[in-house]
Amino acid sequence: MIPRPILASLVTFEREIRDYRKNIFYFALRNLIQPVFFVLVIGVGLGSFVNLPGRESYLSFMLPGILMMSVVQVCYQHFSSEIWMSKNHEGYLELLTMTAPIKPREAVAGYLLTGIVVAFFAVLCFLLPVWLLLPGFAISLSALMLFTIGLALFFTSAGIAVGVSVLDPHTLTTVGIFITMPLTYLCGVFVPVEMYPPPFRLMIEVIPLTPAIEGLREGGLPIAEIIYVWCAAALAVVAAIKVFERNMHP
Amino acid sequence: MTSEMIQVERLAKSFGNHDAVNGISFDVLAGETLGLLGPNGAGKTTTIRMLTGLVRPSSGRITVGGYDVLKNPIEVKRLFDISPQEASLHPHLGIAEDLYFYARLRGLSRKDAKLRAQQTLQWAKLESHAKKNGHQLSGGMQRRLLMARALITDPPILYLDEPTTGLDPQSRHALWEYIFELKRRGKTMILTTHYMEEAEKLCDRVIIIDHGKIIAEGSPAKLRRGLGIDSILTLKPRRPFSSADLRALKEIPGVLDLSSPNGSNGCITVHLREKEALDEIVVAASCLAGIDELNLTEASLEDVFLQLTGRGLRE
Repeated sequence: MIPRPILASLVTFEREIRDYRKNIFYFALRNLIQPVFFVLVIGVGLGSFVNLPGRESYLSFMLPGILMMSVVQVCYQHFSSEIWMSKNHEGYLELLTMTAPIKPREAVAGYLLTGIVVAFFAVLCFLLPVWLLLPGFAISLSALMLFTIGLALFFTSAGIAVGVSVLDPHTLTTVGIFITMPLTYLCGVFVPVEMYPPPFRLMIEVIPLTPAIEGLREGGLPIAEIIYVWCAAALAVVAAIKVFERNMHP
Repeated sequence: MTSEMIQVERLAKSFGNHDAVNGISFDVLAGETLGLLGPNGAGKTTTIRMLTGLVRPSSGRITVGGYDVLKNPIEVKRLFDISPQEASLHPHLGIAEDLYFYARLRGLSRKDAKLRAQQTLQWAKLESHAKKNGHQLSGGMQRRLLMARALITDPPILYLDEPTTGLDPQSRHALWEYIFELKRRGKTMILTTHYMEEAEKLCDRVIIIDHGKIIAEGSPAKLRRGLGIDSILTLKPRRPFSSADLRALKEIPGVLDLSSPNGSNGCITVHLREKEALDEIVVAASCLAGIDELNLTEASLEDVFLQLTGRGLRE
């Protein structure tokens, strides 16, 4: 007999996954399109003119960053829009927390589990063609797994918090741009963070995406970075639950 | 009908400086159907949302089946379900899948949830649409589905938030039949509606709310009696009444009020305190202007509603 709170989270998860599966082809395309362009235009194209001291090719430097960045974007965008739509447009999120014997934190747990699956799907969508086209590309799978889970929890939480608290669709889009754009271009995806001035670098390194990218580039099992990303994820989860509860039970 | 199923004590909710609900108290007995009536913005939906635990009251207390809504939300949610105003159907899942997850979230096993989803679709006569999503159904079908969905775990309490708004007469009458069936099965129901005819037909007791306060409470018959109007006579004269004619008619004993609204083609509406005045007014009207048509109706809940909440348009 599964305890009610766990069952409630699992049913929410199952429903979200069923919904995701319905449009899996589109999600796969969405997961691929931006990373592929980055790899082709910046990695292969511009990368042939770039030489980073102490690093292998620019492409192999960039790939871990693109991989982690796609996890961030997929989790944030999927859940901010999904939660916003279901709360403000379709109305069924309210119904879920209004009438079903389920606590808001249990619903959030279901979304977070979905976030992890969605993140791994994004990783798979990117890695499979990379491994096909660049058979030499090596990455620590245990570190990849742990960073993916940590980032998925952090940015799914961010998506939930934004989706549930923003009312206006234009605000939702603007907030999305302000969150994902700086992460994409500043957190060490395209440029090593050592190149930034120290105070700016400190700010960037606080964002869990940066240590995740750096950790993956290091190879092996970078314990300090993994612990940092997971602690940040734990804080984000608690914050998302609070924001969700406050907005669903005003 | 003996025990109180729902108890609301001094319930209030403010949004900033606006008091949406202002210290209302009422009980609903087991098996009773209570109508919550009021103009737009009167506080009906906020009250329902507080009953479901979705909105936290600023003050006051609600108990459902003996459980406090805020302290025991899970126990309370096992006792009720809701047919909401908005469609609130999943945009991508088929309605059978939507119902399946709806039932699963309410604690049913996979097997039972599948079975109840099928039964619910049969009950709503929507089996042939099982794979469509909710937004592909007509308004009437969506309403039937929402009503059926609220019954998926057969809870003892149902909140029906404007269940027939926007429906054609056939669909509305079909839903009324469902609600009658639920009454026969002993469900405790709170119904909000804008249709006075609906409240009159379906509700054992009615509460009229305006500006967040209860302004009248009782059975539809009791509220009509409280208005002091026995019946309403509408009379179309052969020749227009003069002002003196109207004054003379108004002075007939038993006439409570007489009006001749603009654009009514000379028709007059007479509110009668007692039917005994009818003979005299018909004879007098016939002598004064002749009679082309006349119609006598009993005072309705709508008359009570308009008398209490006014005829002015609300924002």
